[in-house]
Amino acid sequence: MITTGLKRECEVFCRYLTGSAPTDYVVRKYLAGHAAMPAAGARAERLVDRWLLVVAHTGSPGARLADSYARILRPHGPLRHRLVLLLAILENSPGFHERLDHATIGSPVKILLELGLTGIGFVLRLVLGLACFGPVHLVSGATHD
Amino acid sequence: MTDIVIVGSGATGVHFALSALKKGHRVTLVDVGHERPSPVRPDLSFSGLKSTLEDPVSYFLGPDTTAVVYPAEGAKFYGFPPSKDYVFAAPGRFGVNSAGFDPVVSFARGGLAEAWTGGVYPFNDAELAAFPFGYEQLRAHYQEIARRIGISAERDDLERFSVFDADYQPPLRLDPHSERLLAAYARTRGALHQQLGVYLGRSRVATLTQDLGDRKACDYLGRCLWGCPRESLYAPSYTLRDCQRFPQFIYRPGLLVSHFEYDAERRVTGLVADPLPEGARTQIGGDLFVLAAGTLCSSKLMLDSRYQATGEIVTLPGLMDNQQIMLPFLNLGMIGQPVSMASYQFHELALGMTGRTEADYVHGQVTTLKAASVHPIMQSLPLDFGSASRFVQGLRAGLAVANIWLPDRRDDRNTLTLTPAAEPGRTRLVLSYGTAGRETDEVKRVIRTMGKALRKLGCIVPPGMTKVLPKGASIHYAGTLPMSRTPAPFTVSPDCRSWDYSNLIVADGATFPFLPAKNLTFTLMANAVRVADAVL
Repeated sequence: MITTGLKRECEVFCRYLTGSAPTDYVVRKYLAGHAAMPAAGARAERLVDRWLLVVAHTGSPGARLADSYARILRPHGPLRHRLVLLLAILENSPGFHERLDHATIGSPVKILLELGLTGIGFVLRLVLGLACFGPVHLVSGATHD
Repeated sequence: MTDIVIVGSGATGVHFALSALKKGHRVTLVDVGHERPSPVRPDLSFSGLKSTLEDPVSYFLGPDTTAVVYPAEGAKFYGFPPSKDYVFAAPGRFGVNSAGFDPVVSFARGGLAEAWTGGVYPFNDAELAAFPFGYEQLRAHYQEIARRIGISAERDDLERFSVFDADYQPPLRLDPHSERLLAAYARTRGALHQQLGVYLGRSRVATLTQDLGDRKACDYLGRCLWGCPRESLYAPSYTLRDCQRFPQFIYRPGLLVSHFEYDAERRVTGLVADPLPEGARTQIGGDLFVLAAGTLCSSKLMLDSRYQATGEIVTLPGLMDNQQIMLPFLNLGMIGQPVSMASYQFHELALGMTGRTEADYVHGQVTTLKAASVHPIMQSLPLDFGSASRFVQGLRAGLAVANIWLPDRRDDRNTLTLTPAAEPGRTRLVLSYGTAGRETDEVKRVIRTMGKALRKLGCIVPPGMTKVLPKGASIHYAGTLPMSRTPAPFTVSPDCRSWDYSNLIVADGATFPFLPAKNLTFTLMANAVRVADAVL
């Protein structure tokens, strides 16, 4: 049961991070890595962490929304731990490392404009995340770990 | 012919040993000696390993993914890979309590310099002012070390701080980002010198650009951090291999030295060592004993020896370590440029900054981002991973980090001592850095000045990303058994003979009475040769 849930988590997070489904190798490594990761990543004991994971498991948009909130207000929580684990696996896996090691080549102005829009998108998601996760976070205790 | 027993195979121990062997003495080197794993596919580049290995994740992150850098307060922008685990593995019976100090010790064959980045800069007269000798007394020994280990370097503005008079190999090929920084420096150097006292030049590194003995010239595989498979980047275990070619050399790995014993005349009579993982205690005799286990372990051996003989626990003042600052920056002119993973991975440029006095010189090394683990960088950005990934890809060619070190001085509040351990007869090392956090004004000045210098070079320093690392993090330890012209307990003579025990030499950084900002390893090696020449 737990394994099935983690496989599903790996698939959703992989699509969020790379736009593609994970290979069997990546799933195998994620399951093994999850078993060895620090308790702060493996166990979601606080209500806000469970809620962040529930939303993140719904798909790439949910994962990104939850991640935006977690980066600022639960940076050391289980969601960020799990995403870091998968990202570390992906950047060292055939078929994925090229995408993560890739550098964007082109006009600096265009790149900076695109990054500006990306930043604005992050701020908007963070605001939406405050509405979605903030009340639960307040109920579950401290506002920052 | 003298029977010499050396403890530790780090940069100091192996060069003392090699000098002694060349003079015809018998040398026994006692060591825990965790071994470096065999290089994996020396023909492949950083990217080639990821595409070709059957299980690249195990290679890069370890079988249990222990090399993942998880979110945490003070997390660095990089982690050591599993191929360097042997450098930091400590025997279970070696325990440390510390306050205000984050210590690292090594029991590897080759010691901590198995995981260094190869920066080699001689100390100048101002930096040696507290030592009982000057640059002239070290010059020939620096030159000898340059011949032994191979150093690539070029004459430039940094010669103002570091004398350039050894047989160096040609410098490494620069990556495009480093080239651009140097070009920007050429345009702005007048202002940088006059307004900020900041200088830029090529890193002097113990990395070959020409073959030397068994070792091959750098082939720009981008695998420096994971362990150079061509042995281009120097490691002390290569000199240990050279020592093993002498018939009068005995290497005894698998032994953790507990203490030494001495007689009523304060002559050391032998080492007491425990086999690992277990076994009966053994004694090793000799005529002359050399402690070269690194500042922390050599100091512990001195204190343990007194403790075992008398029950007295002594506290050594003067523990030093360079304050380290990591200053990430973005070179705007590199945005949109390609990145070559097939580059020398470590620092190619060095920064020098004048201090209040000549000895207060501040040293830096600039590492541009090429082949690297990106997950520690992405998680440090104040963005979700989807956005962070775009930022890293968009800015990758312009990302770099300046590692900056400040000098350190001996202070009675920074101490090293022992406490009895739970197991009878054993002790734990106790480190206390009482002045931690008291250098804030100087740290702020350095961060501010370096930030201004980088802006003049066309770079920006993202706010909130500069890290002031805890004391102990730079792994440049020194000062607990300092050189002294006059005899005093727990000090050594100018030739590094213990003032307490007549046939004991302390050859490592414990004897340094001052710690300049420059990486100390080059001077450790040169001093070991100097001491061997003086006492043998």
